[in-house]
Amino acid sequence: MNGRLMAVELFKEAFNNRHEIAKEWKSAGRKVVGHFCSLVPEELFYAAGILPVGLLPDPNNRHLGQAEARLPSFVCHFTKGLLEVLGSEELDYLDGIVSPFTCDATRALFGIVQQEKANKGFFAFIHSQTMRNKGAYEHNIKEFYRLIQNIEDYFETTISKEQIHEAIQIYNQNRFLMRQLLEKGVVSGNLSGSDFFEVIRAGVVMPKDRHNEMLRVLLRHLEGGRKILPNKPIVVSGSTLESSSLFKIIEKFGMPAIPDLCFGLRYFLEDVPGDTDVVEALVLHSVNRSPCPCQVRVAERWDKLVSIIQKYCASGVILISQQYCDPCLFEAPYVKMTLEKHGISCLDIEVEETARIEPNFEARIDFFLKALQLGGS
Amino acid sequence: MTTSHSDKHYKATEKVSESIKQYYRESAEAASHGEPVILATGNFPVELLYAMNVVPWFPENYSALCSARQVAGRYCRIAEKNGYSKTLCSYFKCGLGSILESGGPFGGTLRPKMIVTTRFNCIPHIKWWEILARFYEVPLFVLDGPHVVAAKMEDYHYEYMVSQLEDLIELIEKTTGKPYIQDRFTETLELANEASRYWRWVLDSRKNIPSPITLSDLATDMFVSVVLLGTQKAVEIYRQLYEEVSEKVKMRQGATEEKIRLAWDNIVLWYNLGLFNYFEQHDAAVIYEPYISDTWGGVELNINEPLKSLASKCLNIWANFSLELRAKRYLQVVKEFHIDGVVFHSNRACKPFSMGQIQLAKYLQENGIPSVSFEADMADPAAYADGQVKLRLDAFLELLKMKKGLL
Repeated sequence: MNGRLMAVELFKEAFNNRHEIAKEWKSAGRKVVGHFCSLVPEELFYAAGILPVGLLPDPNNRHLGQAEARLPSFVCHFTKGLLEVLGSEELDYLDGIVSPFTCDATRALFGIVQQEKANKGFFAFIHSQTMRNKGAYEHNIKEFYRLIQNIEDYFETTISKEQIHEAIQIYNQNRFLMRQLLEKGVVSGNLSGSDFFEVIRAGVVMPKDRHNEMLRVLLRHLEGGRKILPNKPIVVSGSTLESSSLFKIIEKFGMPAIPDLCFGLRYFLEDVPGDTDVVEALVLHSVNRSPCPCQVRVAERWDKLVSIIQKYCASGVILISQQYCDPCLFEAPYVKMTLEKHGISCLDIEVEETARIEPNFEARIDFFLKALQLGGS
Repeated sequence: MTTSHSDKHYKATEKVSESIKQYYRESAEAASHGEPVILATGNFPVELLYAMNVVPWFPENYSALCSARQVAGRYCRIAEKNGYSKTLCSYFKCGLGSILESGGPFGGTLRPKMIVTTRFNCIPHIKWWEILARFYEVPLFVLDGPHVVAAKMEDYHYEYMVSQLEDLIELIEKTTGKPYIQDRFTETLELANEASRYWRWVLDSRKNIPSPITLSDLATDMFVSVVLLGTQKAVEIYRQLYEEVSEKVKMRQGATEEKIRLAWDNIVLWYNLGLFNYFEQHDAAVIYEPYISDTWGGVELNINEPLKSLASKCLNIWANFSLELRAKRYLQVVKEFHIDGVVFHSNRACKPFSMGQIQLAKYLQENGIPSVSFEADMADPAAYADGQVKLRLDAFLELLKMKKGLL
């Protein structure tokens, strides 16, 4: 196994050991808080010595009996998977859960878990990403301070601006390294989409300073490395993928994959600005970062993505929506039309679960990628 | 599938039916004469739109109308053929399908000058309205606010909403050329309050045993609260309803033979309002529903703080209530309205209303209140299986009757 592969293995290991990592963090007398969404300002928790971890369904567990008994049938697999894992003992170590303003399923999930886990801290975070007027900005500042206050009150701690500043620096370093990895690894064909997925996924569940160290090692191994994927990249756009199965299909065609996902570009593309008060900086970042499908700025989102597609000479886009994921499904026809206007090939699929791509969808993806290789769409 | 209209008990309800037709005809006529139309979501503060002398038009209400006229399914299929997932909100699919076909009752959706929505109710309110704004190439205004109303709301949440409503007034003035006039706004709010007082009284009259009015009428009557609030017409209709219901209360007459008192959870089946008559045929009266009572429940506005009051009104609705708040509210109404059981419509087209129902049912059961649940869709009859639903309801009603010693 070469250095690059070994370095990637460490990320896979970290994700597989996510519960142990969290418990290790707690063993030092610290707290762990879970979240479902990349809009959460993790820096505020990190500043308080609390480990924020993205909660993801267990990709190896196909049995969702607990969740299905507590949710309507018409809810996305991701939400069901989250409720299943939250209902198990695996996450008993969580001290709290934080949820921002996202989709209908997530906010309902938050309410359900809040009822069932009375012994945990719950932090609803209701900032505006809709408008950028003065009222919205002032509201967001107050909302961020309220979140800080709630964290301080619940965990009986204090969060100083210096601590927030330090956390921002660590997180910005992480974003910078992830962008480096995107350019030097993924776009250059040195790192497959599935390996990049493993790197991102590990970053969501482990302390960012440790993730940064591992990223530096991986980047060193990529220097002067052999190009393993000779073809132009594909952009994969959606919300959250539960496994790397889609990326593995893409790799068969020698194509790197750029993830326009909640825990993908949206998680690391923009830094928290460094030239202003730290709370204001977090507010500005939350408003100006790449919008997700839950937000109102769809045209802006897609203009931005089109520029990324053009910048990295991507050959096409796979638009993947989970069944019942309203934010993505509402957008899909418009996105497809926008991309086509720009001459960008697009495959639009609605899958029951993203962890396992069913054979009929795999056949469609194969066909689309073959057509791209042949220069058509 | 068997669907039907409901039989109404009140003349005022017949008047509401007439006013629906009148509203759609008059709106279309006003638009044809160049009056500015604004498309708004169902719980947008309609009073403000009437005060500014524009024509408010409600796509959700229109989809409900299409459904009641048994054409929603066809329009949903058109939206699906145009690339929209069959799992999306049926109000949206119906509305968009009718626009794409340039059809629909009363000439279809009116071409707007601008579009207004709220962000806190549901994702479709954002995404659907974005699609409308792109389609018509008109400005979109999104009223933002907290998406979960829990025990304590902060003042700055309301301040933010007030600042947005002020922005909205400016935008309406700029886009439509209609000026904001304070006196007219006050007058509109007074009319809204007068109508709301009658409406609240009617809704609360169902605490009487027997209940003088049921959801058979109220599902139609609510149109006034959604669409006409702030007009003289609303006052006239609700005053008449109040007078008729008062008479029944005085005479201690129920709307129907009432042995069982039920609550209905979720949006109604617009294509099958006759289901409420089915309950009545089985001596069961549906006398409470969060969809109306906790959404368009006749809230009076504070004339001295009109914008804050409007903000509070449109924020404090069932779809925004935290699960905890919903549970507490149910316990309260079960007691106040003497409810024997709850019918949960698990609505495939509406996650905010449907998610959490299983937890509510469990909570109610723990507090001695039985419930039944069935899956359907508020506007699209394709997801409704009449036989299966009635089988469940029959068993539930039998259970309730046994529990009350009526069998």
